[in-house]
Amino acid sequence: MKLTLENVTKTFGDKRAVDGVSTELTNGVYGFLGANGSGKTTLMRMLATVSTPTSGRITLNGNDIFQLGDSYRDLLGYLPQHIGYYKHFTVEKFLFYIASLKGMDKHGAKQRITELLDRVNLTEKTKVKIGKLSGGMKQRVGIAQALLNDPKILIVDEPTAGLDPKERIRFRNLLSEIAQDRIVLLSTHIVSDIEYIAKEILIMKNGRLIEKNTPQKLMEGIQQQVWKVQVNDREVASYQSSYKVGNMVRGSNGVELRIISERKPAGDADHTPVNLEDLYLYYFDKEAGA
Amino acid sequence: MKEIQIDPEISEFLNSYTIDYPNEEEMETSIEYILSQVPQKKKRFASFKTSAQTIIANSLREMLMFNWTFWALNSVFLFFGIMSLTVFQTDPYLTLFALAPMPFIAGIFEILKSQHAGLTELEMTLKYNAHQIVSSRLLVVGVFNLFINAAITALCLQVDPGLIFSKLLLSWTIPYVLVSGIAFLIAMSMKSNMVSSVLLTVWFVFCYVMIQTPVTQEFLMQLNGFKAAAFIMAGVIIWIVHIVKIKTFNIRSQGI
Repeated sequence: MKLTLENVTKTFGDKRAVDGVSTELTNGVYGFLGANGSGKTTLMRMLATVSTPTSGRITLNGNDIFQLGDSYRDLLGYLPQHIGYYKHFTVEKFLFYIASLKGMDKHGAKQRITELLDRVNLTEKTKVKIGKLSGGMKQRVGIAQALLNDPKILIVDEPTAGLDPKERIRFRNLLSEIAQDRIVLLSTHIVSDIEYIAKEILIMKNGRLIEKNTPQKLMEGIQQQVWKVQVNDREVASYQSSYKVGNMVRGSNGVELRIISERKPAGDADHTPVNLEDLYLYYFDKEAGA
Repeated sequence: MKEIQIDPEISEFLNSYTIDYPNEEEMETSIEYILSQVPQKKKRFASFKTSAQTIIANSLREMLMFNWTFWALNSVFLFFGIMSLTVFQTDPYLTLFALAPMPFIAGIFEILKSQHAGLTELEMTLKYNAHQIVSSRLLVVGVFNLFINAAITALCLQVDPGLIFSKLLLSWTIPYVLVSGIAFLIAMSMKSNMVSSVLLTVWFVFCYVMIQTPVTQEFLMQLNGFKAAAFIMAGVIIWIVHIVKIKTFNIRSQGI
């Protein structure tokens, strides 16, 4: 299965939300990384057929996804960034309703709902009204509905928002398990969500796709620009104003700063292994600080 | 015809070119690719038939998902209609006029509940998508409203066989088509889950004022065929606009 984006552009008035994105996506997890307003959600919406590109084309195995219509949507599982619920529906009723809108038969839906509620740790909440669930639980219902039809293309926009660390790990593992024979597109600005499971990371900035590569390759690309330096308390502000400073670890000998810089920031600075947070900081420093 | 003279040097240069013809497999691949790009002619009637069948099939599911308040409210309207005609002996034409769009106005909340719950974006990506879902709900509410109006018309004729059937029909057809169309238009732009309550209140007040005002009452009673047809036509046009809008649901129109 191959999802192809050919020069996809989406404009809203004068603003280019997505600007000439071209890429190919095959089975595996793809992490879309970008600051707020970078175009991730707009691109996700086009891939989910919620909106159409202003220009360019999205195809699945050579066929335009908008021409494919319901046969494409039949393959799709989607979790929007902001999902609403019918609050007076119970969890089970909501999932049955969505299953029927996905064209599933009652028997198949029943089995799948039981299985998925177990996977997202909501079995005990089956008969509870959605309005009474916490934000994290509602998000888990959202994840379950996206997986109901065993989708071949799963698009999840900020899926871990509101989940506690344990549930985030559970969700990551779930995605990792199912991604072998399907395309999973995951948009986030929480780098740890994709660090270990993404086959490739797509970095978006100002509507453009600026990088697409494996996490390893992307991190290798900035290997010479990540430094660790020990400073005292009084020097921290000066480093922060001159460099992109990531983590700061306070210890007995002062503060250890993680710095992203093309040049060596201090005589005693040492290179340190790169992680995805460094990568994020490298590309989105201004946005992160905003 | 004059033969074109080509410089021997250029001629020799051109002759040195060879064109590699593609093999059978390459030609097949090219044809297959090009065919996938050719827009398919839509069989409009077949597509309309499939779409209509889907909407009808989905209506039953949507009906089962309606909140009990919709059915309770409509039972109250029906009860009120029966009581008005049999106990209070109100004017049957005016009673029908006032009751005619109420089930629909009460149902607007159900029709647009995805929008109010923030589920439209998700529903746009499902096999049976947002416009089919809204159309199915519209069908349920519309047909149910029609059934209520027909039942009250039958009751009117039962209570007083001397009533004019065509006038009874006109009494409810105009508000059923026109008022419900305008109400839906307002509801689409209001995007509030209080929309049904607000519109029902407005309609109650309007009917009360109209019944209290002899001029409007007389106007309604003397609606002739031409004027009535004009009102109904206006309602039909509003509904055509709605149907087109629903068919082209997109995230901007839904304010997502």
